[in-house]
Order: sequence, then C-alpha cells, then structure tokens
Amino acid sequence: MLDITFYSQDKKSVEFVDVSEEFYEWLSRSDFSGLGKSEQQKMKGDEETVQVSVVLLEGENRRKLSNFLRDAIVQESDEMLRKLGDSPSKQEYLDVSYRLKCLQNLRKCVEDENIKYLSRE
Amino acid sequence: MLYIEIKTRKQIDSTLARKIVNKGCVSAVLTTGKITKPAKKLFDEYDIAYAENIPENIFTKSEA
Repeated sequence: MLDITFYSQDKKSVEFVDVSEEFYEWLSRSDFSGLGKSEQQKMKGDEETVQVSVVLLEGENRRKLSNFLRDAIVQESDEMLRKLGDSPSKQEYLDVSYRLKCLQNLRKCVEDENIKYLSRE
Repeated sequence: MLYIEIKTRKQIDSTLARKIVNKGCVSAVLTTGKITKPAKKLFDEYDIAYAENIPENIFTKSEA
C-alpha cells in the first residue's frame, strides 16, 4: 500500500490516504499529479524534521485539486454502477467501490480547511 | 489476516505509526526511510516488528 500524506498548518502529518499501487499509478498519470506546484519544505515528524515535497493547499491549488477529484468521483460512480449490476456479491462490491472510496477520502482531505499541505511522494 | 506493511516514505512518525497500529492486522513494517523513536516505541508496544532504511531495490521485482 502507498499513502498520500496531508499536513496541517503547523506542518505535522494529520491524514494519510492509503491507495493501492495501481490506483497510485493512475493518479500519477492523471492531472492530479500536475495540479499545484510542489516545493521542498521541512515537515515535523515527532522530534525530527524531514524535507518533503509538498503542495500548498490554498486558493487555486485547493480549488483545482478539489474540482479534479469531484469530476473523477462523478465518472467513477457512473462506472461503479455500470459494473455492479443488480445483485453484486460483497466481494464484487468491495472491489468495484475501492477507487471511489479513495477518491472520496482524498477529496475530503483536500477540502478540509485545517489541512494546508499535500504530499504526493 | 496479518500482513506486512511496506512503506517508501522518508519517515514514519508516530501519527502514521498509530494509523498502522489501528489497522489491527499489521505484523511488521518495512520502510525505505527512517522510523522515529516515538513510532518505534508504539510498534514495540503493539508487538509489531519493523525494519528501516531498506534499499528500494529489495522491493522491486527481479527480472525473470
């Protein structure tokens, strides 16, 4: 599993969204990876700081990332309903809904005003 | 089912360690980066094995 990390204003990690390698690759090929300029910043990790490449989640950056995720969620829900059919098994449901859950988790973090930085590393 | 969590991040801090612990199904954590002391303490507390600074090529698939 890979995770996408979100940091608070005081540069502490506050949220991690776990994603599969396949989904991460899809994200890195999509517009998600190009929205907002990443820059190296010192983030706090317990007693040590660490240089991390982050995007500042403010103004246009936050809006564009949010819009990207919302569009992806609309497309993904359509795809999910098409794949599920009338009576999916529990496993089918879990498999098919996975990407939608990841996208929703990312959207919630991107739209959370308490979160100020996103690391896509 | 227990599994081993593999990370490629620079540092595993206590916030991430807590999240891993809360999953309740991780038996060990391997990472290419560092694990902070508070994070190690947390893993010890919950009996999760860990190893840090592992070269990334160990995790990549070898050619057949």
